[in-house]
Amino acid sequence: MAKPPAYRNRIEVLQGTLDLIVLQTLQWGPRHGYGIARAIQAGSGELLKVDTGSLYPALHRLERQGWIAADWKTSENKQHVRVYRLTASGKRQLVAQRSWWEQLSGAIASILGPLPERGEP
Amino acid sequence: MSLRRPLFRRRRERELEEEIRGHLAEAVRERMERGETRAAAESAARRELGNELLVREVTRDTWGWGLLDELVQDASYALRVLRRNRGFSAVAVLTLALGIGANVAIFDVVHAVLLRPLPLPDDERLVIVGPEWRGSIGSVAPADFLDLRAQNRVFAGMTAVCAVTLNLREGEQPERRQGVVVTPEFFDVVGVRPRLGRGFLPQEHGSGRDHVVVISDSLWRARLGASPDVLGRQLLLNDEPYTVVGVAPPGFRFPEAAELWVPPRFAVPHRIGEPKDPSQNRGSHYFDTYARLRPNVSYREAQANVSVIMARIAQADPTADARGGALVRNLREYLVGESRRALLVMLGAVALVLLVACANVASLLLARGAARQRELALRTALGASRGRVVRLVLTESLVLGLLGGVLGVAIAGAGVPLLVRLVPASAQNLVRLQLDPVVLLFALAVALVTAVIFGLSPALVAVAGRGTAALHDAARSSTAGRSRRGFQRLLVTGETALALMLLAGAGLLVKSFLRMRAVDPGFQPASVVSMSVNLPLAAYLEPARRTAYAREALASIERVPGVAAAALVTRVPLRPGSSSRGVTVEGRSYTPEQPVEKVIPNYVAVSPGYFRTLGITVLAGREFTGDDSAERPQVVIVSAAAAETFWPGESPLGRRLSFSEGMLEVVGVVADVRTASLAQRPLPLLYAPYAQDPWTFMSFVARTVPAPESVSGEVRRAIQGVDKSLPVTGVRTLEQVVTESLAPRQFQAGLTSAFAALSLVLAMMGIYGVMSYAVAQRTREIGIRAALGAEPGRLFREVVSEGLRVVGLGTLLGLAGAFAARSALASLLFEVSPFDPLTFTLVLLLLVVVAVCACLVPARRAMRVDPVVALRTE
Repeated sequence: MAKPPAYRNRIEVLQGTLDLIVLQTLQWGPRHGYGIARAIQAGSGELLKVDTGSLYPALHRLERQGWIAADWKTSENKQHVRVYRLTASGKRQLVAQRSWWEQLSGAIASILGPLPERGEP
Repeated sequence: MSLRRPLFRRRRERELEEEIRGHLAEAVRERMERGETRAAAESAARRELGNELLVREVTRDTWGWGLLDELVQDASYALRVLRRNRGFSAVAVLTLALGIGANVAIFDVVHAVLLRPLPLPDDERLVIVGPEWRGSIGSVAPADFLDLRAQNRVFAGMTAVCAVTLNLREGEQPERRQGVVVTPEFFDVVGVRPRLGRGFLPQEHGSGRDHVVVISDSLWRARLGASPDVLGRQLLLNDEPYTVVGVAPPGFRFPEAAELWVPPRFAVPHRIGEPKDPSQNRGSHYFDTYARLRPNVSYREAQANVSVIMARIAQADPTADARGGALVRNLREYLVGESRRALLVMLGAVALVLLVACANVASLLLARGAARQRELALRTALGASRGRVVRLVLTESLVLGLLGGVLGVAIAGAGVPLLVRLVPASAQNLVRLQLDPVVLLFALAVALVTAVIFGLSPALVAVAGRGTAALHDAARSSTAGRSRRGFQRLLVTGETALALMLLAGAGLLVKSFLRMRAVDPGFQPASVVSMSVNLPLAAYLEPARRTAYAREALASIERVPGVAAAALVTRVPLRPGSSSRGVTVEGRSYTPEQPVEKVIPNYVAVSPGYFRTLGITVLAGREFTGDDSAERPQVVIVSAAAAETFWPGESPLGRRLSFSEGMLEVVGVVADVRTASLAQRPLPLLYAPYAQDPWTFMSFVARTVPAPESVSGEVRRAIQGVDKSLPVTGVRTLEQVVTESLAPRQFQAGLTSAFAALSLVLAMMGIYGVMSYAVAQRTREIGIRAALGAEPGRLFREVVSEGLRVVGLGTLLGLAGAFAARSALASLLFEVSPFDPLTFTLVLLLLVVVAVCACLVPARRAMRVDPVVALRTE
């Protein structure tokens, strides 16, 4: 079993992108809060670490917006957990945010330009 | 902030806690599945989670406060503040409750009488029709009704009604019940379907088919045990058998509190100078005519059509007194019309009371706002927005207003049954006073509007100062609170003005009442008792039998010890109702346009001793005597007003007049008597001897030597002894009759006085409050001046004169208000100018005395300020 990378090696999720990531994660089915955090961590190759102090405010904010909805379920662990799922407007929001992200990352990439050649004098 | 969180918010927090517990548990499970020990997994999961409290806090922040959340939060805060200041809250809520309660109660009456439709379907199209008579609608003669019904093109249905009292005999005891003669189409026209059986059939009138009756639901229950097989049963009415054909729906007693509806016989007792067949009778106007307008016919069109028919009748028959002018009015408006003004004035009065209450509570809030200024300033300094502070203060007002509203509705609920006396007698059986949803909605609206009115000024003052200035202000108050005090003074000025208006109004109404009570009715009511009897036609069809009964009854009354004089009259003065007949005067020519005299005099039949018994002065000629019998020439006695109307400037003695047949010679002139109301100038009145016109209903009057109350029982037994089957009813002393005729006025005056007294107490509280506050605010200044040697007496006078300045300004405003309201009140006044100097002087004096009293305590406090203490308290 691979050892998880040390804490300091993880990247804090950028403000504003967390919503997109959460919505994207829920696209594959309902999950509870911890499940979402694990999925983000696993999906990013253990590179992205979501702080609980950011995750729950984000979840409640998205719920308030109506993009995700929550139900109480009982996990395999016999634990009472709150499970979030994507709503129809959440799906539309995901599409919108994805295109926004693609534009943004494209724009940043074009500003940064190609990596400079190494070994210049 | 230690704000208690609303219930639903607390539940969300519990859920959040559980969600995070679930998060931890899932993390632990996963770690244990990866092989960690429970202890290691738990501590790692906790570490990963971080500060749980902080997580919860930041999550909670995303919820935000919804508008409702904030409102609940503000309201619960307001409640706590109010609970903390119990004394203040109690005074404020009680003040508001009295103001709101008075408004709700009066509105309930206004709503029931003026706004709510009659319990008759589509009452917009239900009208009363008749000749114009002294600006009102007169009654219609039977023949005229038949013509109107046959010839009109504007009514879907027409019915004539006439109240009668009927002797109902069930077993031994005869009872007198209110009945109404109605033409067969009555139930169709008013649109009411009997709950059992039917209304009348078109052929059910006239002799032979007219012995059918519809009974009221209440009578059905009380006397017939609500028996379902009542239809077809026989009732003895006026000793004649009537078959019950229907039972009216519950609560339906229209018109005139009717319990029995019977078809017309068109065989009312034959009176002197009248055709024998009533359907030919155009001289006696005893039918009220109701009609239902055809769809799309306006009142104006209907009135034009009726006028044309009446003119045609007059043209065809010069003896008919149906004159050209006709009126068509909405039935409900006709029934409640006269009370409209009085009710609206009452509504105005309670509105003023409420305004005074508002001003008082606002002033209380302001005074307390001084204590709270610091708290509010602190809130502002800590970042509460101005809007938020206003909302906080307003919410408090709303809570106060709603509490006052709830208590006010309770007060109104208790008071409304007493207000039934504001309902005009003609509408009393149609109107049900109850706090229905509309009234409750009104109460809510009043409470809310009130809350905004009295809450706004404290709220504005709360944010008027800049934050730091306010903090400063609250800390040191020597010259502080100027704007607040100015506001407060404004409120007290307004209060004084309103109280003055109410006091003046009440004073004028009371004076009117006293004036009216002092009016000479034209007869001497003291020591006279009256009671009435109704002769059933079955046993008393022959006029001679009625005359004989009357003679015998009078003789046995006179035998009662203590009776000094006895007489009978067909209608006692000042009792409700009237009888009148059109006349022609001998020697005068009449045209088809004016077939009879324009003035239709009132008319009664009396026994010989009548004028002596009632103390009515005989001005000329003679009284009736026993010789004026049916066989002798017909005679008449006229009142002074009648003499002046028909023979101005001449002696009427020996002159003759006619109703529609035969001639009556004037043998006497008597002083005028107020018959309709003490307020109304005496109307022309004709008296005929009972022996020459024996009506079936009569009232006996007896002048007694001891108090009439002590003899009335004996008199009653004496009458009863003549014919045991006849109920004797309406036993009243004439003084009672006079008092009853004044009752609505007395009630209005009393009610307005109560409202005025309430506003005066409130104004007094307001003046006391503002002066106490002024003294408290200036304790330091007064202390300094006292230390510098100011005389206590001077300080005392200063406070009192400051109070009087506020009151003086208010008084001027109040006088202006009274001037503006003069026309509304004038119509309710009787021989009193709306600017009656005596009333206004007394009211002003009262206000000044009250104002000085209210200033006394604060002024004494100012006088006794101890300089040392005053300076130290800062």
